[in-house]
Amino acid sequence: MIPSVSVRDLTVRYSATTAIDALTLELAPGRIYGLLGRNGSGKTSLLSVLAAYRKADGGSVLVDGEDPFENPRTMRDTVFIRDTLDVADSDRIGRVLDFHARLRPRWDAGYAAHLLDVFGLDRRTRVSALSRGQRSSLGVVLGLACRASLTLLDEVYLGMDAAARSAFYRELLDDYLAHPRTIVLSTHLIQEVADLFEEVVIIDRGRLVVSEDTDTFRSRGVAVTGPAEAVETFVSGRTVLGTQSLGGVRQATLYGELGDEEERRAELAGLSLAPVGIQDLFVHLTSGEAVK
Amino acid sequence: MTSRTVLSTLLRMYRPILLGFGATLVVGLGLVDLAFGLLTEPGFSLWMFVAGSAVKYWLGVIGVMLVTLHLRQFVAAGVTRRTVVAGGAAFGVLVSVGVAVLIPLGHGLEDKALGAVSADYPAWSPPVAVGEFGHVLPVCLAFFVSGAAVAAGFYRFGAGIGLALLVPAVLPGLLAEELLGNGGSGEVLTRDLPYPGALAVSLGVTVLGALLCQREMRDVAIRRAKTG
Repeated sequence: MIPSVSVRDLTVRYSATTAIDALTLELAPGRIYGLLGRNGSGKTSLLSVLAAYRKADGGSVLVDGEDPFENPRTMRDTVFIRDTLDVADSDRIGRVLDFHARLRPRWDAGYAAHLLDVFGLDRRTRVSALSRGQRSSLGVVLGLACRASLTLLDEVYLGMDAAARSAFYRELLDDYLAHPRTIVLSTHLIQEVADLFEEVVIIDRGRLVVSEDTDTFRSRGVAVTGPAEAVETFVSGRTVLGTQSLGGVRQATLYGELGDEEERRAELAGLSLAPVGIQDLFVHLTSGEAVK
Repeated sequence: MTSRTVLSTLLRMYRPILLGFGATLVVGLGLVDLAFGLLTEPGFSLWMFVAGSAVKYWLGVIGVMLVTLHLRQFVAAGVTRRTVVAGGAAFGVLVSVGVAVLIPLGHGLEDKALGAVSADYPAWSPPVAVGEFGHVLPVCLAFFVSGAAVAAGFYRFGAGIGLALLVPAVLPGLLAEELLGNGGSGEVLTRDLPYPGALAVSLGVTVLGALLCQREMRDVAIRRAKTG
């Protein structure tokens, strides 16, 4: 069964620092979530609590209706891959895979072997001999081949080259379609991964900023392109995230949805409207100047 | 996932190390022992002096590894801390029993090869072997628990409080060594108390050390690896 996740007033502290501050969030089952936030925003802390790596200091977390902390049923079916791998450096890759094969009930050894081929990893290589990108690839193999119903991937692409990242996105999507589960992908490479997200969750300074489906999120902004003067007139009085000009043509990125009347006005002024990239909206919402 | 799975996984992980360690002790010390026997009149049991001491430190290292490495590995594979602690404890007991059997067996082989090594040192016999088992086992258990408790204190609380918790954590090992540790010629000794009392005190403090370790580990946050 693919689990839903319910977080209520979650608080996580590290001594005097509050990493997660009364965060409330619902994750529906069987979706790919993009978990976005600036450095230190609390993404890893949130994932750590979901994976039972850390106990919440306050509030509640339910995975498939149960508290995941020290819960054998939910922990068995949850995988959390961090940028630092939780494996022994002295082990060979084959031994790491065998270890997970023994403990993960839905481990797919054939798929793991396929992923090793895709990422060019050799079972005989010791983890300590892997490059940063290869370690990340091994993390992806562990994260996907265990087919856990709740898959939490925290910046697993670190050090991967463009080809490896592309292979990762392709494999993630293919395997998700073949074996649906709830996937939370924390990343800073927003533009590159945005097309994978079905839902976007943004947290900033430990608090939830946005949690909604990607299309709705994209509609929070619009790119207006046309003659510079017409664009200037149209955007006057609005929240402008950025502008670009080429010759007499200007593009302005606006925050906020346009109504039917405004869209008609733009059309009459010879302006074209297009959706805004998730990254532009993310930067705006976490820059401290966001419109609340 | 049960503690039995953790136990069998640990046994599988450590099998090559256990076999290598055992073989090195038996073959290496056997050769050195033979050379000693041929060249000199040995005044002590090299087997008991070296192997009898080495195994307890090795159990201490396993205790440390259980906290600093295996806890993270198992939790990352979806196993609860509770199950890891239970399976790890069973592993520690099993390995302790194994080495507590190996030590008198090795002493017996040494005795066969060299004869009695010293007038002060008891020749091997079944009662002596049982006595050695009865000393090595609680000492190994105590060192295993001390290793795990020391590591758990630092793992959970960091250097400051970990250092303060060092005192109760090392107590099982220190006490077992004082009450039941080897003498200068490698012989097993019972000091300060009669054997039943020494055994009861040693096992009692070891259980307290195990409880300390269990309390430190039951809801500990899983730390990141140092490398990455």
